[in-house]
Parts: sequence; structure tokens; C-alpha cells
Amino acid sequence: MVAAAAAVTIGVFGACGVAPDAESPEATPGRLVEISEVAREDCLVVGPLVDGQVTVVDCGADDAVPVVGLAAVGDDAPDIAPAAAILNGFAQSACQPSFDAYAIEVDEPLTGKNLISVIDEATWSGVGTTVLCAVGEPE
Amino acid sequence: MARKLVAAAATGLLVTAGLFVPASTATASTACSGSSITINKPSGAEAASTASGHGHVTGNHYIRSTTISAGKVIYTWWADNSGGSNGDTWDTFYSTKTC
Repeated sequence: MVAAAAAVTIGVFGACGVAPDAESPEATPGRLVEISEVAREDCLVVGPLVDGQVTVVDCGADDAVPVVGLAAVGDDAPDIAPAAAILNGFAQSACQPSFDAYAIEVDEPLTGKNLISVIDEATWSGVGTTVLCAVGEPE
Repeated sequence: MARKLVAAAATGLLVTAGLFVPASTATASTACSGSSITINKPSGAEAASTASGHGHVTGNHYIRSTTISAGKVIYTWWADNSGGSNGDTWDTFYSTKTC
């Protein structure tokens, strides 16, 4: 069962610590970064991967969401990337510990927030495939 | 009587639309985006909060999680199990939508 996928938390990050650019918050362009190379102080924008990379933006930018952790899919992951719905389950299960830790850190429930998992199925490697976890506000 | 029949027909149309219209419309059960709505009001199982979703005659659905992958985004929609004789109950998974 996907929900039972064991999640291996690699790290739990704090809330985004990058201060917005007070003079030109909309002038900061996004940059493409490999999932495994996203730093704990980074913020993302929600959108499809571009060549397996996420778009990292200044945390003061509109629609920026903070990274809260980096995880890996569990021991029951297949060797070949599964269908979208199953992939979704593995990614969300892997990130759940990071989401739980973030909720404790900010001392508020995450109900209503957008729990975001980023995984590149093109580079799926079975057990241990990296998943990036972020928490966004509702639109 | 005629007025009641018209009202009933209108209600039926809404329900039918909610079940069969394309998922991209505002009344669909899942979609690739949502608007700001209040969920879990009144509170009970969960505290009331704002979420991205949409309302139906029978209740709300909202986006609980998003998975970003190569060339697509997968939205996981949950049902806001609020209201009725037993107040707010725990929200439950509803469906996923790949966009």
C-alpha cells in the first residue's frame, strides 16, 4: 500500500530565511536547480519541473513557498517509476515526516495549506529517490 | 406546486452538473486549481481554516497536497466533511487530478 511506504527523512529544514528584497521584490528571477541541490533556505514556485529542475526564487517573491525538508521514497518503492497516482502516494508519504516536523516547528496545524512534494520520475531510481518537500499557502 | 417542481429541477441540474461536467469547470469535483474557501467551519475535528478549493451543494472539496513531477502536477483533493447533524468530522481523501 502506498500509504504504508516507509519514509526516510534526510533532513528537516526551517522556514525560509531569505529576506525579501524591499526595493525590488519582483525583480528577482527564478533559477533552475536540481532537486537534490536545493538548499534549506531556498523557496520554490509551484509548477512542472523543467529538465528535472525546480524553479528557486527569492522567498520574498510572489507565490514563493518555503522548503521544509528533503526526503527519500521508502523501502517498498519499485525499481521503475510507477503511474502518476502511485508516484503521488510515494512522494507524499516520503514528505509526511517533514510536514509533521514543520507543523510542530511553526506550532500550527497545516490544515488548508498546500503540502508540496517534488519528485523527478525521469530520474526515478527506486528506493532512495529524492523528494523535495515544501509547504504553500492556499491560493 | 409548479414553483416546487422548478426548484427541484434546478437542484437536479446542479447535482447533475457536479457529477458530469468536465473537471475544469468551477463545479467539478477535482480540478487543476481552486479558489480561496473556508473549510471545517464549524470547527470540530479540525480547526476552521482557509484552503484552495471549491464548494458544492453537498459540501466542499479542497487541495490538500500537490506533487510536482516531470511535465505534470498532481493535485490531491480532500473532502471537507463539515456540517450535518454531527458537525465537523475528520476530512477524508477524495481524488487526485493530474494536470
